[in-house]
Formats: sequence, structure tokens, C-alpha cells
Amino acid sequence: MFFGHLSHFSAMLLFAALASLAVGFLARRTAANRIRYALWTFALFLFVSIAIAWILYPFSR
Amino acid sequence: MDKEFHEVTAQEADENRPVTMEVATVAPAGQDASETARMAAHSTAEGVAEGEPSSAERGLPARAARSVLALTVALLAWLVPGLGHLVMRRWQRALAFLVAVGGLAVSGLLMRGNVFHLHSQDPFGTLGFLADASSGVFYLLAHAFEKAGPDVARAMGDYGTRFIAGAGIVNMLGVCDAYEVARGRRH
Repeated sequence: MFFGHLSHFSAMLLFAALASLAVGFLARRTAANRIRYALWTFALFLFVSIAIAWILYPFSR
Repeated sequence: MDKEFHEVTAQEADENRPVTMEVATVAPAGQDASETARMAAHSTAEGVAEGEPSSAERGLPARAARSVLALTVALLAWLVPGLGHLVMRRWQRALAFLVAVGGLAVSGLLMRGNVFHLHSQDPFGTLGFLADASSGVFYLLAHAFEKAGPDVARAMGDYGTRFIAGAGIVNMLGVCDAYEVARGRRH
């Protein structure tokens, strides 16, 4: 099944997209600002996740 | 002032209108507003003098009704994600919470994440139960989505456990927001 074969990265993308949607609609009042804030939150999710992954990389072996 | 507050369109104004239960004081035609206020103050003083309930006492039923309304909205928002906002005609937020919470919960269950039950053996299990149960109907219907049961031996099953807990936490944000909107503290 599709959900059983997601990669780690695609699972993270899915989580970030859905969580950003809720945060965006919760924190802003207008549709344009909500979409903009959801995209910004999504980008932050990605950036922070990749940054943490690289920080932990030396300890993975 | 924040720029976003100047960009509210007519449709969004309806979405963002406050839920109020206030009684407006309107000046009759040809009567000054300050005169109306003076008369209102005078009549209030008279009411107190004649043993009638004060304005604070008259406000109690309204406050109680608002509290009951807010708690009902919060209960609906917990039971079905987005329903609390829907009954207050916040269509956009209702749809966003239904999609976000439903998407997280169903994805987590299809990844075969673990659903915690009430009688867990350790404190983390109890915390997991609180997070999972916060997703409302998706927790109650977990077994319908996850017929094969959890499989946390695989990484995806472990991620599914986090997705299900995340769904509950996101829904709790929605419950708190719906409660605050119903109390009139948030738009």
C-alpha cells in the first residue's frame, strides 16, 4: 500500500504539509495571509528538519 | 498596525466576524447619544433603588449562556475536527482542520502506527492516549482504518504513531481556538 512504502523524506513532507495547513489557518485572518503563512511554516519545517539531519549526521556512524 | 488587518474582503469579513451576544444601545431618532447614555445610567440607578437586578446581575445569564455555548462548541470541535468552527460559520478554518487532522490521523493509521489505550502500563502510554484521544472521531474509529493492527517494528509504523499523536495535538489547537472564538476572545 502507498502509505506503507513512503520514504522518510516523503513522510516528513506529508506531516509538514498537513501541520502547516492547520497552523496557517489558525494564525492568520485573511485567505492570502493564511496561504502565505502556511507556505512559510512548511518551508521552515523543511529547513529545520534538513538542518537537524545534517547536525546529527556525524553521530550516525 | 499589521498590514493583514487592512486586507479583509467581504467574504472574509463574514468568516472573521466576532460571535457576540451583546445588547446594543441605540439612540432614537432626534436624540443625542450622550443623552441616551445619561438616561440609561439614570434608569439603571432607579432599577437598583427599586430592588430590581443590577446590570451585573442581568449579565450573569448571558455570561452563563456564552460559557455553555463555548463548551458545546469545544465538545463538537473535539468530537469531529472542524465541526466547532463549522457551527460558528468559520468555513475555511473548519475545512482546514478537518483536512489536517483527518489527513494526519488516517495517514498514521494506514502506516500502521500504534494507537494507545486508556489503561497503559507507563506514563508515556498515558500521554500517548491523551494525544491520540484528542483526535475525536478518528480515535474512536481507529480500528476501522487499521484492521491489521499496529506494526511499529518498521520505521513507517513508528512514524504512523507520531502522525496519530500529531493529529490529536493539532485538533486540540482547533478545540482551543473554537472555544476562544465562541467566548468572543478571538476572531
